[in-house]
Amino acid sequence: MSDTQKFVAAATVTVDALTHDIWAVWVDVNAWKNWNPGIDTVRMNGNFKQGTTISLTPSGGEQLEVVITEVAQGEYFTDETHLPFGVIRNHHRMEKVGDRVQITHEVVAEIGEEHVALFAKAIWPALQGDTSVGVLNIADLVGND
Amino acid sequence: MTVVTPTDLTVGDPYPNKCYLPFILYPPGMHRVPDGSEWLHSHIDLEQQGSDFTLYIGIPFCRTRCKSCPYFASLLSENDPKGREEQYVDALVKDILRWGSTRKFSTGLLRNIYIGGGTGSILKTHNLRRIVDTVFATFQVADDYEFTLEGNARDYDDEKIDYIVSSKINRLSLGVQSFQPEILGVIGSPHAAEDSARVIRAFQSRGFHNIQLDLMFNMPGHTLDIWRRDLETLAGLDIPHFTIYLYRIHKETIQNKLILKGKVERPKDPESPMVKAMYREAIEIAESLGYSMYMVDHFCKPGYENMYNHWNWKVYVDTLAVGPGSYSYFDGYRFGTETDVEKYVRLAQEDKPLISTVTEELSPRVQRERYIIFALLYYEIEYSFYESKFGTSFLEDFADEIGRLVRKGLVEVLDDRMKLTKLGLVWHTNVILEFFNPAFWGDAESLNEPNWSLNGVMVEVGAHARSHWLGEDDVTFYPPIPDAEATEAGDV
Repeated sequence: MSDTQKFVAAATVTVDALTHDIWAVWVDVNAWKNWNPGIDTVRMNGNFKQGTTISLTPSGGEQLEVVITEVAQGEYFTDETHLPFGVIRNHHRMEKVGDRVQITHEVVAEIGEEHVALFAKAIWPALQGDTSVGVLNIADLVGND
Repeated sequence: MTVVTPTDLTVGDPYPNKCYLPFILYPPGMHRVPDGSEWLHSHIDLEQQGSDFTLYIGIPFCRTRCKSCPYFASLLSENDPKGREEQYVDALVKDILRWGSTRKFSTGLLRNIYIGGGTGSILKTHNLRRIVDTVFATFQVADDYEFTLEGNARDYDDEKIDYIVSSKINRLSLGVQSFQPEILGVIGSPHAAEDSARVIRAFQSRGFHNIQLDLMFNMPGHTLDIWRRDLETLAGLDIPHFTIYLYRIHKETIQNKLILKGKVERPKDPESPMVKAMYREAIEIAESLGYSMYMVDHFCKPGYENMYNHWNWKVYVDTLAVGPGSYSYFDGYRFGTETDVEKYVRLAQEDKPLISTVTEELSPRVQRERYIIFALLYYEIEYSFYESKFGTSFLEDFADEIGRLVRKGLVEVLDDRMKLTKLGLVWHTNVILEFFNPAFWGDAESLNEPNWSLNGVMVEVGAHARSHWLGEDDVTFYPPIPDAEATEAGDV
């Protein structure tokens, strides 16, 4: 891993919502566009479980294959995309905080040294921005506030 | 209010508002009890000789909660690091054994068993086996028993299918909803479109054919064209029983929020031409394939009626329900087990039942009303059976109600039975509301009591004044309910 550089961004929102409602929004992959502004088209190829692939076209980009790598129903899931310049992992988790629920989306990109400059300039700002906007959009969809 | 006279029959409706209920529970009003164990022992004679009964076993878990599901469900992670499934099944087995240790249930004859939920099929194979073995080791089970496992095609792998085929489970019920991926995603079903057909064929190839599936119509984005494709797929699967349910948006669900925010298309009005066509075509296709609609929205080939419903609603035996979110009925009481899975487990470890809400003791009159309300799901009341059950005459007990229904053209009074007319079938839910006890109308207080599954929906119906659904006793016909979406005909 010495020849890669890690980019990490996370956004958290605490909302008056039910965990199963948040989960229902997460697992409806074909409707991720409802809350993630960085997606042009998306389609899940099977059930929402570990190993299932997702065909996703980011806004202004080419279609990618995303793999669901971890699933704990009602708690968290992770997806992973392997790209020529590195790997991007999205960790989505929720946690009860009193009567409310904390929703976190963390994106971790491991980028090859030779691609770092271009990634930092051309891709990372949008990924960071979409992460923040995404959790706020989910909170807006599921919240009772 | 404008009164439409009987001469205007073709333009008049029998009631001012049409009621839609996905499921019926009666009586709806229940109140909480602080100590369920104490209540049980002071109200029910558990040492009496047993009689015929059915057993409902609730599995409170789902992998995801469908977006407009009104039922209680707790999300269960596949990796289940805290062992919640094992703890729950341990508790369930203890609870079954505790009920089975009473004279009432050890000497009674268990007619029918139903594992529902939540998602019954979500359990690991060894836990299903523990439950099945416990039931047969604990109760006297009728030779012609039926044992249904309800669930979702997502949960079935070869190991589970092989076990079920070789087990005492002899009927499968699958919540299919639709065979179209775009619809399943919108309603939040946990399974992929191809799962249902795959699992049905896997069972059939092993010689297991007694399969029911549930379809829904008028889901968001559902068109007549998509519905026809669902019915065509159904026809190709050669299963002996299916049901159709009108999709409903329940208020406190994520689907309602998504619709209000414009993210999901609102389903069509149930009275719209498209929805009426969906229902009509389902019946036509079913009949052309040799199914009969033997009870409201339930279709089967000869000999494949749902016997769990039959025993509970037509023969009207006791129901013992175990597990969080379930409701029992016996000895003149309905009582419910709340939805707190951890509390259920804790009390089971202490060898105590979790009984959370109860009705008052049902008067003989209310018990008869309850029978009629359920039996009318089968369109008719047989006088002789009613009399054998209650010792009184149906025509005398409910003369006023029957008179109103006859006047509105909703029932026919024949020599041996009262039968719904075609119009009565269209207004079926309002017809059964005619048999609600007058004391149960306008019961807004029960809205503040704990309700789960569809009891809350029933309580909402009863919170209205009787006249909201049924109008005034001296008015026979009302102006037709406006066809709010007549303009949607172009969408069909």
